[in-house]
Amino acid sequence: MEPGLDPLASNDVTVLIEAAVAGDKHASEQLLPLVYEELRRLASARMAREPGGGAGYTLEPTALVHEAYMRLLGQTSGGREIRWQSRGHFFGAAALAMRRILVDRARQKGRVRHGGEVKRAAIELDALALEPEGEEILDLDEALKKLERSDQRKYRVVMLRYFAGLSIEDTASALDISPATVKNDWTFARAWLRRSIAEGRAEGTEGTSA
Amino acid sequence: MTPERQARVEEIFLVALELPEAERLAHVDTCCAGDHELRLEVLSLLSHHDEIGQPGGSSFMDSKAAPGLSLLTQIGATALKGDELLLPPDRRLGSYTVQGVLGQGGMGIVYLAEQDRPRRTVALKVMRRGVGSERLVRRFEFEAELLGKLQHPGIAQVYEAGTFKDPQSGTAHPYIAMELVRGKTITKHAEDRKLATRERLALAGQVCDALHHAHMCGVIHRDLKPANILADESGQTKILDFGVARSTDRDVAVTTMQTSVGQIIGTLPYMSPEQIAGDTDDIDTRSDVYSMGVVLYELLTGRLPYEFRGRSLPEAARVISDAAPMRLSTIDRSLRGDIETIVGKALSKEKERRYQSAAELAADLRSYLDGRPIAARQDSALYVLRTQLNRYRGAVAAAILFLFALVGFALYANAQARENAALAESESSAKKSAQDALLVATREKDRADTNAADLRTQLAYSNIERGRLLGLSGNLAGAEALLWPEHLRALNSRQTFYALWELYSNARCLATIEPGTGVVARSALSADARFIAATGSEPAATVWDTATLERVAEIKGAGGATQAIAFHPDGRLALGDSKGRLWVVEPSGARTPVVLRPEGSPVLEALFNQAGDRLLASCADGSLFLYDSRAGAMEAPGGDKPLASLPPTNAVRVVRIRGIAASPVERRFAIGSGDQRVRVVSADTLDTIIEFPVPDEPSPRLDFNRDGSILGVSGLARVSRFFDPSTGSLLATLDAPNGTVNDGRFTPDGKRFLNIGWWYLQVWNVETRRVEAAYSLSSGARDLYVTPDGRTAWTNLAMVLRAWDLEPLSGRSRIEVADKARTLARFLPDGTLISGDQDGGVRLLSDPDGNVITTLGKAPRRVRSISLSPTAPMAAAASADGWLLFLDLENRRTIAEFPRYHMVTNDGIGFSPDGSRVVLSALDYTFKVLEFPSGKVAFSIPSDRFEPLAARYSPDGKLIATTTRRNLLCLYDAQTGALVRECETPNSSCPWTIRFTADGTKVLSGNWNRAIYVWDVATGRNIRRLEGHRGLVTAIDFRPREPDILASAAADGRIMLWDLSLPQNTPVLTLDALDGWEAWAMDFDKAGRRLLATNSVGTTVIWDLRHFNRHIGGNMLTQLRAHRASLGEQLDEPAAMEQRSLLLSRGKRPPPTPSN
Repeated sequence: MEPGLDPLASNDVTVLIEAAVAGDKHASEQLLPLVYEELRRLASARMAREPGGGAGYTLEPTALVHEAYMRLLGQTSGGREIRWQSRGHFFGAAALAMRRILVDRARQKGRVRHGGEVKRAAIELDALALEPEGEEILDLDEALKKLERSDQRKYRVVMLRYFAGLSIEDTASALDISPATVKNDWTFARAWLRRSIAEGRAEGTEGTSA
Repeated sequence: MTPERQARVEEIFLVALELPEAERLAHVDTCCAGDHELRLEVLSLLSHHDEIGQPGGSSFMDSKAAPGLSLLTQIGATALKGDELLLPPDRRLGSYTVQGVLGQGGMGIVYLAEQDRPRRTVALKVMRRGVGSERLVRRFEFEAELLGKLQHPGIAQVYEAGTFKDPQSGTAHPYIAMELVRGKTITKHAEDRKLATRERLALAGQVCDALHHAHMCGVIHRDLKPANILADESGQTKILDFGVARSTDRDVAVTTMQTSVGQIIGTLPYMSPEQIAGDTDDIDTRSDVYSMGVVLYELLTGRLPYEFRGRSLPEAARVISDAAPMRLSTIDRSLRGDIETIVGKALSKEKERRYQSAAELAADLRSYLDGRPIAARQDSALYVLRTQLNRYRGAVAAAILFLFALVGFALYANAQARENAALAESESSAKKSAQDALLVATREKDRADTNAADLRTQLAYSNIERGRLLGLSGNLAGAEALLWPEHLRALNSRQTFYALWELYSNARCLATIEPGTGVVARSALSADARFIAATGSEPAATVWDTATLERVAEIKGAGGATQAIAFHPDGRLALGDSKGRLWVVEPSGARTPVVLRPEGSPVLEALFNQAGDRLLASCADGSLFLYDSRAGAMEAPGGDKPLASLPPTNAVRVVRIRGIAASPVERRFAIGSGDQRVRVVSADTLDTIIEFPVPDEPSPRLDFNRDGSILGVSGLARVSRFFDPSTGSLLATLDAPNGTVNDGRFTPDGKRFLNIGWWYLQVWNVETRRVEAAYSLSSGARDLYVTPDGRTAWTNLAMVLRAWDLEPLSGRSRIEVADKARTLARFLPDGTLISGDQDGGVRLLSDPDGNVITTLGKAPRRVRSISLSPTAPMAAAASADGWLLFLDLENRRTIAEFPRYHMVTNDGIGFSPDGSRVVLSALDYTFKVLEFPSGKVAFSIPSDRFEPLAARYSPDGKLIATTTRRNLLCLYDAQTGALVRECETPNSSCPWTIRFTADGTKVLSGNWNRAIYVWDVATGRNIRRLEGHRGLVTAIDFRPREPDILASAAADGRIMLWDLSLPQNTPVLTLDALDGWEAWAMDFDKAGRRLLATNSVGTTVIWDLRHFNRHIGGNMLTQLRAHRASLGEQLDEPAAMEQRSLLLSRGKRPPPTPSN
């Protein structure tokens, strides 16, 4: 048993996930706060180790998600299997939780939108290796809300790839679609999101007259 | 939008992305056929696809990062784990009490602290990094003392400096106590108070005064930026952080290393070109003036002079060194005129052009505010011109050196400095001791020698890594200059060999010929590309065989310098020299040269037409001569008389012919002259058929395309233009951003147009008029030739002739099945491939085309892992849903199927060395050992309730290594299943894939945390950690026959090679060619000659690991000559020549000798 790991929490998650897989909507809803709590706890534990209360500390979201997975599900009770579909449920919840955490943090930091130069390298690749700038995550959050309304599957692909850091292969398994579909969705959704963000920004600067 | 319509949009969008950019629009138009709304929707999405680096483009979710940046990130990440230091509140530090943290940067942490006496609140900056030596501490204190002397209202006063010993680690941390400044950054201050331009200028003048004071005290800031310039409530500005913690220049590099990449990027925009270049000797007060210029720019416009968003670090460095800043007036019209001039002068690339002091800048700011004329106005136009001409790549090369300084050398420099000191000490003590005891002296000398050898090794590593960085940034010459001496010094070193391999896979230089006769005015390639000739004065011309790169002929001249050179299709060579002599020779000397013109006005150009029956030559006086050049015609009586000629032009204004081209289909020549005109003339009479202007082009260089329908005109106008030679109408203009275009040629198939200029060879698509590829040439190029097969371009780079590989994909082949169905593939010993597919099929594929030969077996879902029996033509494959197949490869059938097993990684099945058993991961959270091929379960190893991932037998069959979703690699007894040893990795570094070394003493794991760990099997101790990947390491494997060479593939889409015989834990070679998609599986062929990798979208790429051998061989001779003197005894020339001939002969196809 790893220190600091609540045995009940781990059990709860397993039970909830299995119930969710079996189609229990209520379980799905309960899963999110648990995962959110675990992620938040991990994040603040890391930040506590940082000087200055971690105000300037940068999260490594996908690493956190993976660590949460190892803590909550890496060790399952009774030798029961965790199937990919179940893992998909976990990562789905974790991605959503991570997104909330990032959005909350961005708001807390109170960065001014559209202010100043962003002096930063392009952030990494297909998964969130480092916490994005505040403005970016808030814009993305808005765009994701739109995407969720317009295309559920693409929305899930983006959530799993971007926030949970799943590979194409794993995303495909989690959603039970082919990797080629994941790749197509991912390509399309990125263009769609970029456009949505660009439009959002244009509206933000020019007022709603456009 | 309806779902149907949305689906349609998506379909058109995705298909369009598969097409070359040029065809996308047409595709969208066709698909949308009049549906305007649909068309707009698709186009707007396409415009947002991967808009990396575009202004205003969003940076997140970029699918690729620049290599330079990634390298920096890798190294930066490891360097960051310094000895961190954090003090709790109320902690005493000397005469200070810590009260809180004000902030932290890369170098240190700034605390709010209370000083005892005098009682005051101060900012206490404590360096993160401990200072090791007494010498450095003294140096630091000296600097701090200097800073203490800076007393100016505009500078945050330094009160005291000292060192503080961390009781826990025992290291000494330097600290500085300084004036606590409460205020905002100067830019924020101006913004919040909505200051007018004049007020902002006055504020900048104030900062300049303070800066000048510091300069007069001999202190340079070196890191001036808004974050370091605060303004308080009263509007008083204070500069912070003067030269803090820059005890020595070497330490600057180290300190900078310690900052995160983000901080480097935050500082980068304010760095002067000389700082970017990393030349510490070159940094002076004028560097601060530059930074002040950037601050001023930002203060006035709220923006930086250069757009950095979305750019990689090397790109950003290049921009600072090379690009002109965005003009102030384009941002704000009101800033045009004097302000623009002042800022422009401060931002000059060359120090000499800037304000020579901060006071001068302040003076001009005040002159402007007072309405007096400013000093900066006195710039001459001539100077501007020179600046343009000097926009050389040297600056960029230097910029890259700076990057190297950041990431590579700093480590070595520091170590070397210490070693040097140690060496010096040991040598001097040896001398002393020698007087007392000879024995001691001898011992000391041995030690000194050992030190010297160590230093040499370190320097070699440093040079190689620097060379690789330069290569990645496109500086071929710089990289060669560092890598080749190291390679020639140690010809058997795989490290240098792979470094060169990597270099030439990026800069595809096939061969270099160095005539050694000074500047080569002109060169010519024979029609069959077998020979290349270069002009000189004595010999008049030299001819090389392009296959062997050997000199095959030297042609004696008559005293003039040859200026014109042309090959006849039959191999004869026409030469024209500065004394006006024009003659035709047989390079082999088989026939007597025919002198067509003994002397006169210097010959400038000569060209045979493609039929070979005409020779056209132009002279410096503007005259033109046409000869009959059929075989034997020139030797015949009167054959030296021109068929036609044009007289010299007006002696007052000579119009010279600069370019000649022969139409491939019509009996016509095109001639381009200095009066900015092109004439198409008859190849029989020289009568003008059509004449048209080429505006602004005083030196047109011409080439016809394959069917003579396009005439390419390149030259001083900094563009290449396409004209219709029958009408003279302009068809297209190709911009050459790098300046003058020295030559332009069509490829033989007419599909591409190549042009060369300063430093670059660019390959244009004739139809789309876009650049398809660019080559960095390492110097300005003069002539350009394309071989008839279109695969190779020869360039004349003044001192050397270089051949370039024009095939973008050479060295690798791709198997891309239409349905993208492969998930993984492996080489079989008989030369076929076995693949595991999306649909659950296991198939045999032909190599290299990837056609399906037969289906061996079928699982319900995608195949995740295939393992080959080491003893028989058998294999085991497993799918994602737990189907296990045993396959007979000889009879091409499935032997057995089992539905219970579970596969996550591509490494989930392992054969025992004798082929009698397999170990694999099972659904019930165990590893199962099965008899092969019966499938009977011998025993199970519980996976301790963690999901099982990979399993593998040791080479002697005695151990089984396994990984699960936990940070452990476990070793079990292969007979009993008893746990033998656990190898623990750090948290969240779950090992994924396993390999044993051939001798079985070590086991390696590729991990989730991007590293590869090496474990000692006997002790379970971690020996090494190999770092370089940027994603989950999905596959590792040793190269057959080379037990130290490890290949790895990862989710970052990269393949890396590692040499375990070296102490370095970084890759010796990086292949970046899976289109950015994650690598899923990787395999060597039996000979270790080829490497295969599959990505997660079903593409298989096969590399020929020897492909770039001929690039190395093709450049060896020249490099050998270049370094012969400096390497002296260290050079084994015969061995080098032997390696060269081996490399040249080994290539898949012969070196650049195309055949027709």
